[in-house]
Amino acid sequence: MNMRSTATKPRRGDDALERGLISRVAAGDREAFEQLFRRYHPQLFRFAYRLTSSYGLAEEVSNDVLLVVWQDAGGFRGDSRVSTWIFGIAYRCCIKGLRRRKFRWVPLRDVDIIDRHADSRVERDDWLDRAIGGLPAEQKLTVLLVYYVGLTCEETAEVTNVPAATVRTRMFHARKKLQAALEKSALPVRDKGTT
Amino acid sequence: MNKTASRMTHAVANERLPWYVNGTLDDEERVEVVAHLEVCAECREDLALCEDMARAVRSDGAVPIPPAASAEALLRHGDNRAALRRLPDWRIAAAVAVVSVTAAMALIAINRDGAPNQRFTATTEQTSLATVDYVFQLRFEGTADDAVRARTLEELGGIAQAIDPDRREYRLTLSLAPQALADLEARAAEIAARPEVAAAEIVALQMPVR
Repeated sequence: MNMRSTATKPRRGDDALERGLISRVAAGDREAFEQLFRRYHPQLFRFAYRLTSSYGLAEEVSNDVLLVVWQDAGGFRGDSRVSTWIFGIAYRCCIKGLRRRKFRWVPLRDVDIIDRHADSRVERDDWLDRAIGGLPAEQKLTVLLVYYVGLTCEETAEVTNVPAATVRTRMFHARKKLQAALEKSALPVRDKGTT
Repeated sequence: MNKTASRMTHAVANERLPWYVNGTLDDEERVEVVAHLEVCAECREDLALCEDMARAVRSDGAVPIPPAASAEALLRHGDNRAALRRLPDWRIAAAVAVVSVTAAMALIAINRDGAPNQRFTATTEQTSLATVDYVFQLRFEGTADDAVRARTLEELGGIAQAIDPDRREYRLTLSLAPQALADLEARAAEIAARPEVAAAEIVALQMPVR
């Protein structure tokens, strides 16, 4: 079921192109929607899966988000990047889906049990990936928006509807939790000072 | 620079590290962070962890392959949902009630001890959901160490949660197309047949109540 992916995702420089696509989608252009769909569907699915740990819910959320894009493209005001707008919709859909499904979060301590003997960089990445999956929902979501989607602090604040200071605090606490879990694990410690 | 200003500089630079890593700081902020990193070992260590986190999140290593999907199919689905929204309120309420009741029936049935329940079988076969999250519970043999358990859980896929590490019990959630209880029991039997697994059973399902 698991597989590394080389799928590309929209880059920051693509915003002008995406704004053009959104304008065409607002006018009912299905071909433009197809292009946006191809750019965002895999990324939205992975984002939702990481957040919900549910294949079914991730599929439902990614479809719901793109349907909202199709129906509400005319409402895009253009005062944020297209990706910020789309992930703002994704955030709301995920929260709504989680409330409906009453999902549980895998606690960080369980992550230890899954892979205690990792010794390569890839295994360390997988361990970290699972550990991030075990963070509290708000911290995990913030980590995903910053590292996976690549949002600025202010954009993350806008998407999650909290002050920028709260975003910085959530990132700080997420990092400290992972640091503490890493120290307890048998994973190799990265050289200090490596950049 | 006095001591207070120095501490503030450290705090500000440290909290900006995630955005230094994702490349979204403006030029002025980036220069400040780089200058601070040259003199602060703690921030260099934190930066290494931020880089590891970013790489792990971007790797998609633990994420399953997204389902095959097309924009056209989605829009057709959207048209159907729009048609549903145009139904009179009482019909929508009735549909919601039916789905809620059948989901509850399924949960009750699957949690009962004893023989397969025909009512549950009918419910899952009739649902229009693409996937349902089924929860299996399994217990490993005493000889199965951490590495064996980790490998087995990886092979089985889904989401694993340790519910009693001392007794080597785990809960495994698999997203599957809706299926009959007999098929789910067969899958549990397959899991239980593995030499490292002492017992496995289907214990619950998670179904959205719309």
